[in-house]
Amino acid sequence: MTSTLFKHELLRTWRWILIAILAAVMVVGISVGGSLVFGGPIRTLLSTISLIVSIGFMYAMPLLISLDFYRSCYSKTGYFTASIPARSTTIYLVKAAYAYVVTLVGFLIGAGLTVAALVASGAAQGVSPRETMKGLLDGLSVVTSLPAGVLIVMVLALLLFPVVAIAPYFFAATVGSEAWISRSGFGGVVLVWFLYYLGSQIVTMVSIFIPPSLDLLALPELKLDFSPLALIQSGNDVSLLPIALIVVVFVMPIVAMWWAKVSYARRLELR
Amino acid sequence: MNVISIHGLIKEYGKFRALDGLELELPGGQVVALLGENGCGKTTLLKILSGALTQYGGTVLIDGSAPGPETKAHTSFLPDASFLPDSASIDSCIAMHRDFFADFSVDHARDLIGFFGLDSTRKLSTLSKGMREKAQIALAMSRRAKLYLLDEPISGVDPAARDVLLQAIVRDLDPEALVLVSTHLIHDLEPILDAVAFMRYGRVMLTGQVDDLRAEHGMSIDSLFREVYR
Repeated sequence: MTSTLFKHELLRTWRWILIAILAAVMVVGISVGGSLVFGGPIRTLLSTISLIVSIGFMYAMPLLISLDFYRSCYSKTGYFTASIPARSTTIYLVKAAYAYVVTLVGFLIGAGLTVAALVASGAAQGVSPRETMKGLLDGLSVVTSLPAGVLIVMVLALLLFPVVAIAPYFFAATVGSEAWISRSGFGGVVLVWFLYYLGSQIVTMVSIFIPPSLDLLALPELKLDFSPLALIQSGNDVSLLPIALIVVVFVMPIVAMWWAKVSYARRLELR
Repeated sequence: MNVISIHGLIKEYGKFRALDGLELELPGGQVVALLGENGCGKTTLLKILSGALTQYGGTVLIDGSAPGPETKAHTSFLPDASFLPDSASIDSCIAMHRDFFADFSVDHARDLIGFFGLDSTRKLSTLSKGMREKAQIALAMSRRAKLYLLDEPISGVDPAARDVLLQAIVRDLDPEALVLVSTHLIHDLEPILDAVAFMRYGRVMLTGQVDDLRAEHGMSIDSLFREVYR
């Protein structure tokens, strides 16, 4: 059943995913090409467009795949999904895993497009494409020189980013459709998304004051600061990264995805 | 064993109690109409049986199991709403049903689609409301299910087409299957009914075999409905 569920996720979504990718590649491609050919304000305009589209694409993919999750589970077609003879948890996990893959692919394509957009942006400021690429590669070499432990954390963080991106939407779609708020329709989903956003901002703010913090300037050496007010006292030259902030940024979405699973499995209410 | 066994079923929407301690026992091998005024809880009951609503009180058993993957494997639900993607063709809907439901018969679906005179290559978005209902009934009735839950299946079609739809519902029906149909169109549905359940204020107030009720009250089910809900 799991493979059948994946198959139908793909069948239902591949067209719009392909259209979105082709549209982004085309717009960024034309903008970057144009910015390298033209000069003056047109070059600046085109490089700005390429940056907005490439970065916007990375935000759009998790939003679009989450909307598809909402439509297939809670709108009219949700009746078909609810009638499938599989455990609700299985259906949810397949949809979440599929959304993760789509978002990850979106990030990778978006990152590639952003590199191209940065080349265009550099050209608009008189920096040659070769110099821009050299700058990007230099930045990458700094990353690769980090201690193995920090690198592993970074890779894990990158792999978790799709979860961070889809979690607010999945949480809002499921909890915002529960019986207590389902009469509000899609308004309930929007309200829960806003409450999640507000909650995440508060928790993130609190986490800044929880020690220890990692001193980024000391890298690759691992140096920790245990003062709760270290980040505030560091002024404008912030070189500290609170460990709790990293935990909150990644743990909260994982909890939200689990909560959404429980909501879909135990508190499903189709209007 | 009864196909449906419900005891003390309660369902609330906020402060409104849609189902209020509903009791219902229905064996298989019959077509049963669920009758009642608007808002009496018919659709809510069907949604609970199908697994579309999970928050309720009381006991609901389908063939001895609470609504879940086991019961969904042999329950065919036709909701009041259009539940298939607009962009899908009838052919792809058939493929979707074939993939998800082990009891789905592609041959039976194609037979019914032909019986309705529908072109299976057409997308649902290009079909009229009546044609769409025919396609959905063809898909729902092409499962070899133990329980069919049909929510207002003939409400969107003209009187002439209703007979065709009703024929499709009872055509090749498994003699052990239970068909539970919610409807307001009692007169149209009466010829295929074996039994009825009258609902009011979230409860079942009267059940019985149609022949017994007709003999007991000396009137048709349609007339009895008008009498009861006057």
